[in-house]
Order: sequence, then C-alpha cells, then structure tokens
Amino acid sequence: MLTTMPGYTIQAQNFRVLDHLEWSPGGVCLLCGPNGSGKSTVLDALWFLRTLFERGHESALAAVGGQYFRKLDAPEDEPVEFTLTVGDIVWKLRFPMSIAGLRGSFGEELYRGGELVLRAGMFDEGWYLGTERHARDEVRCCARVLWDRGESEWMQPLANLLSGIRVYKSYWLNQVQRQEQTSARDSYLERSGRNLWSVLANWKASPRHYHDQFEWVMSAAREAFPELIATVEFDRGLPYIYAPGATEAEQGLPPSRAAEGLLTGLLHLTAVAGAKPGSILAFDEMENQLHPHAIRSLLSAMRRSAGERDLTIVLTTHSPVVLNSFRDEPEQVYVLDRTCKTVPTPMTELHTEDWLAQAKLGTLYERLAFAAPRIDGTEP
Amino acid sequence: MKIALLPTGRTEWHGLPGALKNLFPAEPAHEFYVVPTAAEIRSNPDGFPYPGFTTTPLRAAHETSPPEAAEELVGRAAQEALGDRGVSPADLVIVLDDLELANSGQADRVCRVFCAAVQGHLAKLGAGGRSTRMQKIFRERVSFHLLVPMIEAIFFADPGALKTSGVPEAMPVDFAPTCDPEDFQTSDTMYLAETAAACPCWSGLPRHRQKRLRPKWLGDVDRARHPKGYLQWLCRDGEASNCTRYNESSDGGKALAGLDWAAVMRRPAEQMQYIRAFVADLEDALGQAPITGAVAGQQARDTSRFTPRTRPVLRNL
Repeated sequence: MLTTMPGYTIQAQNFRVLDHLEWSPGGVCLLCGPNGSGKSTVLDALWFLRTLFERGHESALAAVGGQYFRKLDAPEDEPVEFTLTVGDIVWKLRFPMSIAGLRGSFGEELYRGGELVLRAGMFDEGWYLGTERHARDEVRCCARVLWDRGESEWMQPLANLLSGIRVYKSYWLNQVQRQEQTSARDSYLERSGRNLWSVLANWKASPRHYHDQFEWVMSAAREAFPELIATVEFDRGLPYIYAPGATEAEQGLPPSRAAEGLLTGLLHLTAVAGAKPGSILAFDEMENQLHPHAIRSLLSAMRRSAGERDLTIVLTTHSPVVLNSFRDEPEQVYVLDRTCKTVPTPMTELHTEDWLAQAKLGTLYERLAFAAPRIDGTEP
Repeated sequence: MKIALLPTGRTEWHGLPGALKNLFPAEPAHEFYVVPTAAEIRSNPDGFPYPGFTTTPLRAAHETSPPEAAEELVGRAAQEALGDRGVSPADLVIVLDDLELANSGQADRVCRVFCAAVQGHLAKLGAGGRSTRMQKIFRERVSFHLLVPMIEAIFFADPGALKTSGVPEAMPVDFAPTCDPEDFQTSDTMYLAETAAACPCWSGLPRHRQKRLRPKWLGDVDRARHPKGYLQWLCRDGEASNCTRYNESSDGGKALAGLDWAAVMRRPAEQMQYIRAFVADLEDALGQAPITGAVAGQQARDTSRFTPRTRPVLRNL
C-alpha cells in the first residue's frame, strides 16, 4: 500500500548563488531560470543533504564541491545554512565556510515537535543530546549517529526522505556506451548512470522481486523511441538493444551503436523505475539529446510513476517543449529569479493563471516573459 | 489611458509611440507603449521577435486554419488586454500588421483570418468563464489595423519624414502628390531599371549572406509598388553591405516618431483610408480628437470601427 510522505520543506541560505532558498516541491515540478540563476545549485542542495546524512560532511562537501560553497557576497561571519523540515521534524545545519572550504566544525540542531533534541554548536568539538555531552563522530553527522542507535523511530520520515533523494545531473554516457559485463548487485541507478545495464539485467532476471520494473522501462522506452527499441537482452552478461522487428540474434545492437538520446531516455526511465515510493528524484536539463516526442513521452511516464508512487520529480529545464507540457499545471512551475530574495517563486505567484492561459509556457519563456536574464533594452 | 501597440516591424516599434503621443497630446499624457519588450527586441538581433502574417498570400483555407503568426499576435494582444500581477490591463490594444503586396486587394480576407485566429484562441481557452470574459475583452478593447502596404508608405505623405529617413536633399522623389500612399506607385525610371550593379558591396557578399542583406527593391517584388524598396533605393549606398543607408530602427523609427500628421491627414479625403480608420479608432477610444482635428474623409470599410457588423469579434472587426 502506498504511504504518503509527510510534507517537507528545504531551506538554504548563502549557498552558492542562492541568497535564500525555500521550497516544498511535490509531484512532477519544474525549475526554470536563466543560466547561472541556481537551478543546478538547488539540486546540489538536495544531494548535499542526502550525502551528509548517508556518508558524512567530508563526502557531502566533496560531492558538491567544497570550494565556493558560500555565496560570494555573503558577509564573512554568516554561515551557509540548511534547514530540512519533514512533518514535525526540523534538521538545521550551519557551515562556517571560507572560499577555500570549511573553517571548523559545523553546527547542527534537530527538533521534534518544536523541541530541541540535539545540538552541536559551530566550532564545538562536542554535541549535546538533551543535556548529555558527546564527542563528535569522525564521519557521521550527529543526526545520523542518533538514528544509527536505533532508538529514535520518530526520525524515520527524515531518514526515509534523505535516503530517497536521487539527483541526476549528467550521465557518463561514454561509460554507458561501453559493453561491459553486468554486475549482479546493482538494483538502482547510480548518479552517473554507469551501472544502467547491470540494473536492467537484474530487474529483468527477477521481475517479481523488482515489480516488473524492467518491463515498465521497456514499455515507456518503446513509446518514446518507437523505431529504436523493442527490448534489451543480455547475452552472457552483455547488453544488446533490439529494435522493433529484429528477430535474429545478430540484429541486437551493442550500446556503443545506440543513439545517445535512446540511452538518455533509458537512464531517465531506469532512475524513475528504481525509486522507492516517496523518493525525491531530480534531473538536470532532462531534455538534453532528446527529440520533442521523446521528451513528452518520458514526461508522461514520469507523471504516471510519480502519481502511483508518491514520487517528487524535480526537473530543471531551458526547453520550451518541457515547459509546454506544464501548460495545464503552471502551479508546478517554479522560477528562479534573481530579483526575488527568496527562491524559487511559483509561476502562479508571478503571473495570473488567466494571463498564462493565453500562450504556451514555452512560448512565454522564449519571449523572456519569465525566468529571463536581465537584458538592457537598448539596441546594440 | 494606457494603449498597447503590437506592430510587426522595427520601424513601428521604435517610432509609433512617439508619433501617437504627438497626435493625441494630453495632460496627463496617454501611455502609448509597444509590445514586445525592449529586452525581447534586443534578444532577437537578427529580426523582429515575431513575424507578421501577411508576407505570403493568404488563401481561403487560412480563414478556418489561421497561420501561427496570427495566433501569436492574438495571444499577445490578449495578455496586454488582461493585465497581469502588478501590471494593469491596457485600456486599448491595437494590433498592426502590414497589408503586404502579397495580399494586395484582399484586406477583407486578412481581416477574416485575424478574426478566425481570435475565435481559435477563444476556443482554446475552453468553454466557460475564461473564454466568455476574453470574448468581451476582445470586443471592447482590442482592434486590428492595417498598414497599407507597409509603414514606409506614410513617409511619402510627409517630405520631412523622407528627409529624416535619410533621403538626400537633392534626390528627386518620384511620387505624385495626387497619388495615395496606401496605393503606392512610383514611375521612377532609374529606380525601376536599377540592377545589382548599383550594389557592388552587396554583390560581393557570399551567397548565403546576400539573401538576408538584399535590399527590398532588388528582390522578387513588384518594385514600383514597394515603398520600402523605393526608400531604400533613394538612400542607396553601394559601399554598404545591404546597399542602403536607410536603417529601419534608427532612421525609420525617427521619421515615424517625428511624422507631420497634418501633412498626412490633409491628403485628399479618399486617400489614406486605413490610416484614417486607425486614427478614428483611437479618437473614439481616447474620447479625444487628434491634434489635426476630428478625423474626416473616408475610412477603410474593412477596418473602420464604424462599419456596422452583426457579430463583432474585435472593436473594429
């Protein structure tokens, strides 16, 4: 049975180009803004929090690049702050950063129902659980230490949310194109996408265990790329892509011969199919390498899956095709606008629905009606 | 009042607000503004952000399936008439397209095509309140007017505008004062006989650049009836890559902004019928006669606000 995730909000201050981020995404939603407005930075904030909880702050900083972590024009004494609110749980983090990196221990607070449960001050080598003082763990953040004790069931929504974050920014297509032996261990798609074939092979081998995820991916891929793919088969651990009508074994194409758009589509679909219910998935510029038909088809598959499994799917885009597919739900489109102190702003707060209904969103985007760079109006 | 102008060329975009401010002076001044925004203009350095819909001949089929360019104009007009968060709606929205030579003699069809685009837009909004509200807004606050055959024609009604456009003082202009600029015709023999030899710089360009920079008069058009082509030729410069000194934005815009409306409006009563229909529509909407006096003379039936219509779609169609 589908259990619905409690509402959540992510906040960040002074993180890279963002003054103040405050966002509660849900369903399939779109982030748009001019180049450099912070779309990818929002995704990095999500990935940072996940990695911090899963693998500690050093890995988290490395995952998103510890240098230039703080907004360049932020006052030096202001830390980079993150707050994640899940239901009645609030996790606050403060990072004293210089341009070069972390200046000392970071601050951390965890609240349950408004009550402070744990606290670690910035530059303090210890932390408090209630009134008990503890030494910091070398790797894990304090919230993780508490969760690992197994005595704080109430933290489950926070832990679930964090472990369910997946951010796909740029796939390593050159690795996906290599025909390498699949591994029996992979059951979900890595951030780089390089284990695509292993994941698909395992899903295909155990359809009941993996809820027919392989067939879901193939079915959606056939819709998106009708001339290119009927199925993928594995021969002695090596993947072969079969186009519709291919009947002979030698008609199977190795990944190196497949269209890059098809591989990208398979990666997107595999990422979605492998996500646990309630997860947050993010795709940076999902439209890259894709034909408009494929974009629309993949978005439709994402929407179906998000609805069935309570997924949050965050997409960043510059594509009018992607934007147009949100014509009937402009409230799912969020704009990163440098003139707003807090971002992102829901499109429906910037423009009335009546006004938006007069043109396609992609057309309005192209016309610079929203999410546009600041352009001096004088003709060159 | 706040008046949105949606032209389809840079000359009008640059010059029309100033020209209309001069024609309808008021205290406080009316706000004439142009769509698209200045940022959008700058972001489209190689052309106007959207095309007009009359550059190719319109056929009967377009009356049920209007070109996308007409739909684009309708959508933009709707947004100006509606207003947005923090943006008040325009009291009047005027879409202005050329009646290009390709559609000469079928202004009625051009108007029907635009009406069809409006109806199509309303249909897309779906049945219900939004569509009904927009229908009323279109009927009360949006007009569609034609520049016949194009904005440069009006400069031939005002010698000062030709001069501002860059036509040299000594250059003879072959356009009889008795001729209607909206039925433009020149018999300048030198112009009509001119060849690409007058444009050595343009001729030397690689073929792929020639198309974009080709002066209008050198194209495959009815040269005698092309006021912009003639104006470009009057300002010809063989050393310029587009063979003319005339610049639509700077020269054309300036000429239009400083237009001598008195010279235009005192043309014989049967001339400038489309311009008269346009100015009369403004006069009616603003509740104010233009500085040249209440519009007299004949107005084009196709676009006059005062032509009786059983089921109007716009203020004037």
